[in-house]
Amino acid sequence: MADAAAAAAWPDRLLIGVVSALLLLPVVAVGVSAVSTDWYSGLAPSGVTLHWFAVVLSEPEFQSALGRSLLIAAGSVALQLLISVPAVLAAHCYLPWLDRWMERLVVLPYALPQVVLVVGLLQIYAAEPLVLIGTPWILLLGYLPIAFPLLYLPLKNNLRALPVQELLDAGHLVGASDLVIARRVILPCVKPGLLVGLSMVFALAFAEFVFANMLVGGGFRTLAVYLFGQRQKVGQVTAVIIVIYFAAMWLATIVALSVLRGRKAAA
Amino acid sequence: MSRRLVALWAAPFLLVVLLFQALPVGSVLVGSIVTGGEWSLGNYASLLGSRFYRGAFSTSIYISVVTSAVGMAVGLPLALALHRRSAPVQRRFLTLFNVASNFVGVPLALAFTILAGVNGVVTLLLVRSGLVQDFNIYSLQGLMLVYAYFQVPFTVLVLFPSLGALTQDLSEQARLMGASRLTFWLKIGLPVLAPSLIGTFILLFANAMGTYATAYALIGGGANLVTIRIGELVAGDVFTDPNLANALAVLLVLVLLAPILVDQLLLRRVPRG
Repeated sequence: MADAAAAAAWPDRLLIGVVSALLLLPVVAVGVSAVSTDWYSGLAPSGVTLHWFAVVLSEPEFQSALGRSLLIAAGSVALQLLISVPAVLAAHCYLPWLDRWMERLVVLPYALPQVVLVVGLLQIYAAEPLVLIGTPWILLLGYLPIAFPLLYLPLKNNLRALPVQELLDAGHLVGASDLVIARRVILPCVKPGLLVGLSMVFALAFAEFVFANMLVGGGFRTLAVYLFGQRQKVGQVTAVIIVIYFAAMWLATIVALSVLRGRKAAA
Repeated sequence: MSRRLVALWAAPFLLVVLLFQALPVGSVLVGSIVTGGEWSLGNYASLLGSRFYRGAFSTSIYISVVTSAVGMAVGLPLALALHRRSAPVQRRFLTLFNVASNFVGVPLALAFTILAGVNGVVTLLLVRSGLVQDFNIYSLQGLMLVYAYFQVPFTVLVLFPSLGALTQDLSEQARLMGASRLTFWLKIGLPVLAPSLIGTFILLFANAMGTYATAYALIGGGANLVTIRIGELVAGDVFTDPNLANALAVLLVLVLLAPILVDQLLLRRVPRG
């Protein structure tokens, strides 16, 4: 019986293995290329070096682009915490119409490609009374609605599992305000969903290219825009930037999450 | 707590969504029916009358349908295979697929340039082995290959949760009643999964149709895709026409919304319960 099960499983293993290997291929190519001395004519690079990391890391324009992307990503997380989280809580507890509306907002990124929003944003914020095009503000504010579904879905999942009305009633009974109940009771209970959502918001804002290139561009060059500008350089340079790009995103997410976790624990 | 205070919690959010999502969409809609300062459908007329822009729509729709079909053809068997594995194996591979489906845009285009560009390993292997005469990643076929890279794992991620409906019990009961594997799939498996399959295909289609960064970083203006044409009209070096861009954007959104609406109408027609 066990043999039969194992025999039946091999096509499954083969399919999963082959597709996974294909998916890993570009990742491996980037990793190998980043540490190659030269990889032009052969099937394998001729030597291993960290030279390209030194080249990219010592580039001042790269350093500032990395800093700008981290700033936009951290700022986006802060804005979601200050603006979206209170709205989700208010909608969940008191405003069912807004809650239904938020649920519909979740499919919007699929029906509304970013390039469509770019067309509209360029028309409104390139001229007086509010000039935001060319400044980082259009990214911080423009990312809020497009990143919102990433925060909403995991947060809402956790809220649904919570007896919010009972918690509010119990809190009111002992004279606690909604703000205190939200900060001390509800938010700690939904922390897993909140952290997952915020880390996805961070990654989106860190890596976003369409808004960053078309709405801001040279005025505040983020890492994705810088990487795009380097596309004609030798493969090793772009490979190193991609490696650092993912490493930075991964590291920053871990750091940001542990900071948030620490602060919540202290509060 | 009073109603007014609650509204205060949600007000900043509503304001930002209004200013940075609703207002731009409204501006695109209004702008699309203005030509030279007057109300007119002239923008739509010149778009539909232009071979160039009709070509952009047919190329975008073609590439989206083909890569969505590839995504389904590989993703569905893959999701089913994964569904039959143990929970830890499922978690490990879903993580991998999650990473791969998020590997998009400029980094993905440049990774494919390294892998399969003019001097890439894959290009060299294919040409040396004599399998192909010439392989060009900077072509429509190349672009479809890159799209397939994120469409396949995306299919698995979207489809996987709905496979829970296909329990072991269901297939065992069917077999007890004498159903063959084929009969099971035709009479039970596919009908049970049909709504998820259609929904997944629509998401894949929208995912491909709205892609801009990946195509722009790989081929630039050379790709005649709707999103590339829109970008060119608002931020091009040579020729800009915001109102034409507005109309093009509205048509793109209509193409994306049409399958969603058709799906909802069809699903409503299916008797429930």
